[in-house]
Amino acid sequence: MATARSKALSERAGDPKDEYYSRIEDIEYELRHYKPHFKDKVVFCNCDDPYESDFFKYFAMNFNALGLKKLIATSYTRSPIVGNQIDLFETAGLRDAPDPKQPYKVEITEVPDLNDDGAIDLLDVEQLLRHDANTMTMLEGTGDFRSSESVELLNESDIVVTNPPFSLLSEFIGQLMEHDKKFVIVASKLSVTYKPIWPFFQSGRMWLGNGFKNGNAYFRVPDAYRDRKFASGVFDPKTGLVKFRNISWFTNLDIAKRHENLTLFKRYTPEQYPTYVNYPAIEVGTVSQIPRDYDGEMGVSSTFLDSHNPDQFEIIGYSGGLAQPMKDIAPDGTYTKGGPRFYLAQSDGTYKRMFDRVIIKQIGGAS
Amino acid sequence: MKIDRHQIPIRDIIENYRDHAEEGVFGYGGQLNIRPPYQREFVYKDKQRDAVIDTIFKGFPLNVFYWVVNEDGTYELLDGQQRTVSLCQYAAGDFSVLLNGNRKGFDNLTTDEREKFLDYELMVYFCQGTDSEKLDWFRIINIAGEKLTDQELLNAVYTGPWLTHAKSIFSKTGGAAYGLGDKYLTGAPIRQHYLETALKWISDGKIEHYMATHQHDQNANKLWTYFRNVLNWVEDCFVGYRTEMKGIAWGPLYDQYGKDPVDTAALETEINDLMADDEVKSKKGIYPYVLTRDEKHLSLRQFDKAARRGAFTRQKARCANGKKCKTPGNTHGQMTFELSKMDADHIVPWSNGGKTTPDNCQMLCIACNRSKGDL
Repeated sequence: MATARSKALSERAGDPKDEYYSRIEDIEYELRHYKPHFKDKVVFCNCDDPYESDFFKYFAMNFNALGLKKLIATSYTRSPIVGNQIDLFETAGLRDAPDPKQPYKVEITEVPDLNDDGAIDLLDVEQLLRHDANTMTMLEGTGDFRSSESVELLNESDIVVTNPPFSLLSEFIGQLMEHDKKFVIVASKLSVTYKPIWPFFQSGRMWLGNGFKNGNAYFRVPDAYRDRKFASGVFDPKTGLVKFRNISWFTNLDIAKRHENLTLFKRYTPEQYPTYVNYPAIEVGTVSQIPRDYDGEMGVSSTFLDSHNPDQFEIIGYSGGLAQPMKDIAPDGTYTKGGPRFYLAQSDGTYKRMFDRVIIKQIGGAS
Repeated sequence: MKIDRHQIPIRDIIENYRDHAEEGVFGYGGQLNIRPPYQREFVYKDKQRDAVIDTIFKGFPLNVFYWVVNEDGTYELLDGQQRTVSLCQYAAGDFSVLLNGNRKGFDNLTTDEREKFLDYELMVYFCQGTDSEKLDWFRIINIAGEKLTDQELLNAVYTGPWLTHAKSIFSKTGGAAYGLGDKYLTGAPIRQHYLETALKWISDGKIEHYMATHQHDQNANKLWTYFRNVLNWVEDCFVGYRTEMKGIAWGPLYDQYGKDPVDTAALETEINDLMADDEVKSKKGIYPYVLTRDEKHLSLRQFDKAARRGAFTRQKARCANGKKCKTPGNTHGQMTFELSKMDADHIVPWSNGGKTTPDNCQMLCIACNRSKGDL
């Protein structure tokens, strides 16, 4: 189903300038499940504009509570919201910067009570940025996550937490994997089965986080984008927020949700669960329909990943990589063509092309 | 029933607060069961959650909380779950709020602010009594606020591992019982309607007794297996699904007919015919009817006023049974009756193909109609 929303997402693919900013509420809602992971760690929020980003804000506010060792954040060239909240020329590190839009980085190793009001909060962080020249420094390059400066910061860090540009997601995740980093990032669920990304899900090197409240991901957009054409229902001019339904968190940090079993209740019958003609697995479709008494391989929609417990199910693969070409099986004209997908035989001699499917198998046999 | 009022500072409530979706949410040094696993989980709106924190900082009173004292001295939170979770989450640093225009998590408070928050006292009523006393009392206090369903009230009394397991299956939207039964059951899992239905079936309507008996079981496998058997039997018996199958009391039917061999094809044909039969007014009743053969399930069409009056006039106000009339003293069949003292009857019964048309209508005296089965 190509919804208006997924269209809105694809519209901005390939437009790296297109920015969507996460809200502190949503960051808190997800990261409360990860708190123990951050103790004594170096957290890197790249692809963010340090003071304007709610990711930076979250970690700066909770620096002591989480027991962070260090917080690093970088901005990048032409970010449309740089300098919105504090005047960069006012900060000690950037006072002599030739160009206010030049990208910079923030590095924080402690947040003391600088304004002496008895509380350690964002006001102290602001104070720190204003007065401590060591915290904020200009970058030489663009701030692009692929630049050598950024890679150097990445090497120094333990966990990356950010909302990376969706159009560069594959590359972004590839880099994290290559450098063997932990991460919690906002990403489109549509990208789960992208060729460069899927293998990480399949091999259990990455999984879905808990997800947005009620599945609704809201983002702030820069004022400049308010005139853009969004699909109906996406942009709310009253709140200035856009809403998407197919966004979640990708992570490789362990969370409780990953250890919850699905209770299965359906019984297998060959009629209800036909076998694909071009791969030896049964068609299940939605997660709730997974039969409790079937030992073999089963095809489910990728929403399964939201409830995957690796102790309960093994992921075998994905239709894009497993389906045998239909031209080897059926005569031309009996099936709808397209990329590799699974097909089911129909009574009239034609074949039904299925949606993308993840192939799974119960671990330790059927219950 | 003993009900005591206590003032408990937040400091004590949040002691050893832990939130594990699978094991439930606890506080008050681990003694207070804030949310048993799979308890109805309203998603509290951020605004409501923030308002709780705001109320505390302003020092305004929060509504009272109700705790149930368990036999082992631990507590079960009966009323005030969302508010309790909100303040525990805030103290745990799970979210931040705007205070005087400044966004602050618990860790960003001044010592004074933090102490003020921790010292704030909640007004908590502890209630202690037998199960039935508690239930009575819950029903009374249930008048205010978010109303609990009957099953929710029972759940508040009969807590334990059995209930926890039962809820994990029956009380989640999109959960197992819902997935298996949403075509056959009405109501919402989250409001405990599925659990209620399953219990009603397995206990023959004596839900409270069943819950009391099984409260301390280690799991609810018996209930789950029974529920599965019922619905699997329904699926097997009735090969074609129709929306009329939703909301039928399948449990009792399974109990009585679940072991009988069924000719599913013949059953399907018969149901199809009955669905098309104008005489059958309760289409839902077709399912119990084809098993029980009791016509009362079908609410068969009744003769209208004109048909009744027509037959009455034809019979000259006499009972259609004539000399066989059962009314004492009417052995000659010549006694006349008032229309309102007579019942309309099918001359050829519906089961033999008779229709509810004027020509198939006869009027019987009440005595005859009542003893029709004897004729």
